[in-house]
Amino acid sequence: MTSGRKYSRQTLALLAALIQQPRTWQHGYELSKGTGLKSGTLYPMLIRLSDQGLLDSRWKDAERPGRPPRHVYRLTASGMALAREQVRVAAESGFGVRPIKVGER
Amino acid sequence: MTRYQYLSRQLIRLAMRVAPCERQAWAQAMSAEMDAIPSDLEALSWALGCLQASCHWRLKSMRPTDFWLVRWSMALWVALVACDALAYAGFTLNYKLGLSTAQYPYPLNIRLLGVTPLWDPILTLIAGVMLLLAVILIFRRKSAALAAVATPFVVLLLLFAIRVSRPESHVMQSLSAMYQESPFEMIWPAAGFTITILICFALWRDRQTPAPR
Repeated sequence: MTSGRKYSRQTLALLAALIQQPRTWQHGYELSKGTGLKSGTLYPMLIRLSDQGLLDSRWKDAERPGRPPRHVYRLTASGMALAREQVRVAAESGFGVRPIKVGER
Repeated sequence: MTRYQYLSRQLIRLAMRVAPCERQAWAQAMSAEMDAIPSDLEALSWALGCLQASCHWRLKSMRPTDFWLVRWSMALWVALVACDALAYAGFTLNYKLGLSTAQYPYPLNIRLLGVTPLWDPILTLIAGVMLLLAVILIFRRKSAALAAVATPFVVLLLLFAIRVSRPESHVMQSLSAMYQESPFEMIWPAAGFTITILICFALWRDRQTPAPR
């Protein structure tokens, strides 16, 4: 079954990063490092996924005292299903999913 | 605090101010990540990205009629189109119904007036009144403004097409380049059409964007 919707390479990279540790809450900076996406690209994508009900987010207290709480993310059940499917389709099509290099579009 | 750190803090602060209310939590989330970034240059790049995202959200949440100049310009243009429609309807009804006993001042138009059916100026009159109503709706920023502009605009275009399609009206000939003193004169009707389409687009965009909180 395929969703029929085409996702950009950046979104696929993000979905792949999120599906690698599906149960773990991940920080925005971690995701940025893992995918090679800049904050200006990453956050609009996180919002879009969250609005579509594919991403869960919550505030998590900082490990070090005196620091502000950080926002963490993980895929919802439907997000996981979609991510698995999209990553599989991308792999089958031969493109695969890899982190975005600096300056790459 | 290094220069880069100072600059990053200022950019993040600006990003938080630029972000619209409904995205404040996300702006906060981006800002909170700053403390976890070990390198100053990376933090600066992160802050620039945050500002870019905030500007994007702000632009997306803005409605064209948020700006008073845009609102006034739109209303002024629609009012001009309304006046044009009402003037045409007034002249034509005056001639068709024989309301005025004075001699019709534009003898060249009499051939056109002769073949114009009575429903043409009546529909134009209704369209003109609707456009005047649209001016009020634009000022009050009502979502019905789109329908109030688009409907009479389509009616006026259809009426114009019907007039042009009548060969005896000579409208087509009068519009042709041969009858124009300069071919550039056709720019004005084209510009008028484009402006009205742009106004409809802006009003549609207004309806799509939720009202600012």
